[in-house]
Amino acid sequence: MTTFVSSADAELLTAYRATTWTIKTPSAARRIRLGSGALSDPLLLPSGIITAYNPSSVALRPAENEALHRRLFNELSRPGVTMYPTLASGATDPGGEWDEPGFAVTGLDRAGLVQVASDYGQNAIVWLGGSGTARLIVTRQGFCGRAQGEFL
Amino acid sequence: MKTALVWDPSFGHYRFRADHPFNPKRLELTISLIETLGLVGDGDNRLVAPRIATDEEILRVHDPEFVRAVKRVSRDDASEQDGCEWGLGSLDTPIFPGMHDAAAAVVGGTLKAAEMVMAGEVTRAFAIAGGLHHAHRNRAAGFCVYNDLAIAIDWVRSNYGARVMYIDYDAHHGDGVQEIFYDNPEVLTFSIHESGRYLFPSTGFVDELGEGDGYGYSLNLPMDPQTEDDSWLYCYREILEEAADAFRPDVIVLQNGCDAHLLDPLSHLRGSTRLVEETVRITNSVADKHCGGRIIATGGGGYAIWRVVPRAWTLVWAGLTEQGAANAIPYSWLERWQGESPYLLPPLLRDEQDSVRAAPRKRDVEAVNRQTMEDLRRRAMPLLRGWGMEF
Repeated sequence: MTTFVSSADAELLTAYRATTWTIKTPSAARRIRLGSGALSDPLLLPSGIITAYNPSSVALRPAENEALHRRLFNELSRPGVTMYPTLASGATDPGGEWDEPGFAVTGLDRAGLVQVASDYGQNAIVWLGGSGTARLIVTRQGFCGRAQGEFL
Repeated sequence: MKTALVWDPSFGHYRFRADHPFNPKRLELTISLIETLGLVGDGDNRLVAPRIATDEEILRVHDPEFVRAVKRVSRDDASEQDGCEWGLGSLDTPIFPGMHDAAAAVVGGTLKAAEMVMAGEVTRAFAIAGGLHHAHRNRAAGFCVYNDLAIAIDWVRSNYGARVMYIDYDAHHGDGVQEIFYDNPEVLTFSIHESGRYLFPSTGFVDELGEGDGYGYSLNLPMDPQTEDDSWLYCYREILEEAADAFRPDVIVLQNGCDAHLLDPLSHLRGSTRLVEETVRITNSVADKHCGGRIIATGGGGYAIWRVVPRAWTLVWAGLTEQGAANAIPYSWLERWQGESPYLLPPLLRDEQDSVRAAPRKRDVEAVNRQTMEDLRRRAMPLLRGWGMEF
């Protein structure tokens, strides 16, 4: 069966594939990209990278993004959950380089994190499973023709 | 609750001169007392090593020219003249070899505390060497080279977008932190201190309320000389609770200077160890109410290094970790340090409340402080609550 992928989703997927995520833990800064290499830091496995910036891929003003970022921080501040700051950066935007803060979250199960990302209007999260390889999980139903919670 | 005490013997390198009042021996004494009392270990209350702050982190708050000047005067062959336009080489902040690295380590300790608290690895962390609140963007002052507090607050803001309430109960006004965030409505600074009429840095009056978007987000409570615990704590609690209810912070950064003590040689206040212990308790309750308990704590001033600082900061740590500390100081600790101390070391962690005579002007001092507090409340609270100027 062929999965229909809209051109907008295809562009977004290309952008995800061109993105580098930097995870800042108290001991080190780790850089990851989708599918390449494997992270071996036990502190971060498993974890998911989530952002609150630009929901539904609509660019917001910095103050609006910062307010969402703060709201996400407070929402994820739960016992047993740790959140390390992340910075997604890339150069696919015609306007030049861009970056987008988020969190690498541990202590929350995959389904829980997918739900939070969905609540924040995000297309996907980056999941670092036991293997340490970064993969995308769809959080917006239908993104790239996939169901919410599916690996991409 | 998990907590971290950030410490490494290398903090001792931040040392100006043998006879300078800012003496890192106080850190060694404090850690030793905390360990002797069994208040830190491998469980929930851990000792954690700091890291060195990078230039990039320091430059988020400090001017590049200033950082270059600090590096220049850090060389073995530097002269006092090399840094005078940057506040380096003064009587207060003399230069010493390795100054940049030592100051970057202090910043790294506070950043480590911030990182652990914000990540959720611990609820509270105490970076005991930090608290250098007089450093300005482009000038060292009052024993402070880099402003570790401001750098950590900036880090919290840029990585988590969190609203920060900075609380400073050092006897001296937290002028550097205030100045750096003076126009920032996402960082509320609150400093309670001995009035700038009588003490360095001669600032921190109730009419210093911030500027631009940050107007109303800078609070100062200058206390009269001879202020005792009750008056200080009453004013502190009244303003803190009301301000926190209005501001709703996500995290508290707490500077724990302990130089409001009666025995401190650099202030004119009459606090006891109860001032420190109660301040931490009140702050904990505000953090629990608004911030999920999160506190990033640092040291600060404190120049009675033998008789006050080790006890005061042990009480800070016991308070932050909510451990009941025994009042008797173990004989082994007293025996270890008494030989070096020029003073007879107190045998109890807490001052006995009937051991100090009341100040002769006690009632007058209390009245003046209360009036100051009401003045601040009248000016600042409407702004914080967003009511505007009219009331």
